[in-house]
Amino acid sequence: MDREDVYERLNMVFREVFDDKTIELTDDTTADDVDGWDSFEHINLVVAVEEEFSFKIPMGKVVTMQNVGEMVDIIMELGS
Amino acid sequence: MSLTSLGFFMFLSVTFALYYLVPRFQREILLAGSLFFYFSASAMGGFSLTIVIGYIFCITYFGAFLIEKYRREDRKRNLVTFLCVAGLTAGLFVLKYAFNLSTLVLSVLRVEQEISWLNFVAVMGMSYFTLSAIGYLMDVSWGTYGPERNAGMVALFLFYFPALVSGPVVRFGHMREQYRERHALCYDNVAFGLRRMVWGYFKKLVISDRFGLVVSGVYGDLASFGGADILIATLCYAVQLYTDFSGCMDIVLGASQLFGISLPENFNAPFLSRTVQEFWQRWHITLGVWFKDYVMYPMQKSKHMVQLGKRARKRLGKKTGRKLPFYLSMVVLWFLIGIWHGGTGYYFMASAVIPFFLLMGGDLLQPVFEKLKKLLKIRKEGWIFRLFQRARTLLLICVCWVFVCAAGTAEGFAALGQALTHPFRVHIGQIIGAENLGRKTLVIFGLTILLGAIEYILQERGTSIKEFLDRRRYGVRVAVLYAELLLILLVGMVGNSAFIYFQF
Repeated sequence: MDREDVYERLNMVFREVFDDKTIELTDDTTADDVDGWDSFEHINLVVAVEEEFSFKIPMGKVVTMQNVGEMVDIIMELGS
Repeated sequence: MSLTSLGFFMFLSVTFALYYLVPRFQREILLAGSLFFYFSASAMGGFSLTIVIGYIFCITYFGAFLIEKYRREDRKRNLVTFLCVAGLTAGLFVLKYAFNLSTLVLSVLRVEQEISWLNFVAVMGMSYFTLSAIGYLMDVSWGTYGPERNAGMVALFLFYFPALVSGPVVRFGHMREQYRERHALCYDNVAFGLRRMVWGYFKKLVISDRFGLVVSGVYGDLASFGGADILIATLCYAVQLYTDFSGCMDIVLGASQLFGISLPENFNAPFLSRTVQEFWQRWHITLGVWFKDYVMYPMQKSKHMVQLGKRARKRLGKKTGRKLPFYLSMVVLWFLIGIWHGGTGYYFMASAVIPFFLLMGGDLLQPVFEKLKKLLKIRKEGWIFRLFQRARTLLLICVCWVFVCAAGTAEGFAALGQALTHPFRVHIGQIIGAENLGRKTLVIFGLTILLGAIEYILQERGTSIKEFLDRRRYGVRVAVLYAELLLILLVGMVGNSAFIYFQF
């Protein structure tokens, strides 16, 4: 699984969760850049990501990730 | 020893001098100073306090190692974490909330029972450092970092004196390196710390306590006042509470900065919030983030909640179904926040029940509001609409605070009823007369409104009074500092100041 694959699948997850087909993620994308990504939707997003990649993201990572880049790092670390 | 007492200044000066004169033992000096401060300031007797401190410390310090011991055994680790958190929570519950909650339950059930034996002497700051301790244990359990071997570091993290009395709720990950490294005496830290402290004292002693006079004047004799008076008094309470709590935070963050240690911010211009949800993200930030990270997220991410969400999505559709786990976790979250605020009936109303319904209502009615905006062709980013949203948010938050001002659930409802049934009845002269508000007080009210308006305009331009002043020349900053000091000395209500959030 390379970074490009992760982004492709992650884009799909984000578009599904936030119901927005125009979302294009980058390393620097944060909650401020995605309409509807607030603390309430954060866990829905995490659960959708976990289902897509078939592993659990530890709570410690869930509460500390700052942007999509960090999310991708975590996915690659857990998926390797 | 209150933060506004001469004793505190002497204590701070001595600790500051020792801290930089003996840099090798900075951490030990801070810890000794913190314990000295705690024993001097606490209403609880020395022996009892030692037991409480020892209890919290032992669970936190040794519990973290026990949790780490079972790093690879999830079930055992979770059990140990649960027991440690339960131990900490039980201590807090018994000493802080048992009496109020029992009184509330008995009054709801209409049972008369003597429970004064449950009313223990308040343990200062316990609800703040217990949350920090729980956060530390949860982080160790989640593997965010390992347990800290140095007992002094853990003790300092729990009982660091600036954050001890009313927060902010600190996270070990944020404080660890700051406690570990040695700090050289730095002009910027001292200048920033002192300026911030003076600003905090100004807010507390010059502004907050005077606005409090209007609140006590009106709410002390509600029958004599009309709806508009209640609105004015509640708005005054908003100013009183904000300048009191944020003033306190300025003092403790400034005091901490003197030692080169940054504490997390607790406020971000809350009265500029455009929604109630945003308000709670800008008010008492560290408490909100703590409850989000350690209560709401783990609950929403639990296996049962995820399954519930899936089932709800199948039955209720994608949009509505995904909200169900969120609403359930919000019920628990606000219930706990209600307990945290003391567990009395009216605090439950003010800090749990009404905020919960406001948030849920806002969320459920969001599609209706969106349609309305389209129908009325409202420019969402226009300044008039932004002003309207902010005023609406403030008024909704004031509905919560009516119950705190009235100091009773029934009294709160009565005040709200009075405000709604006689909205235009106003007795400005009577308000001024009620507490003998002199010309000095009225000038300060005008000054505060002016400061609020300037802050509003600057925030609209993406800056703030603080940032604006930081960019001015040295002479201007010093002049402002002296003006604040002069006002504190001339019109500050020195000598009768207790901070509102100390009680939590």
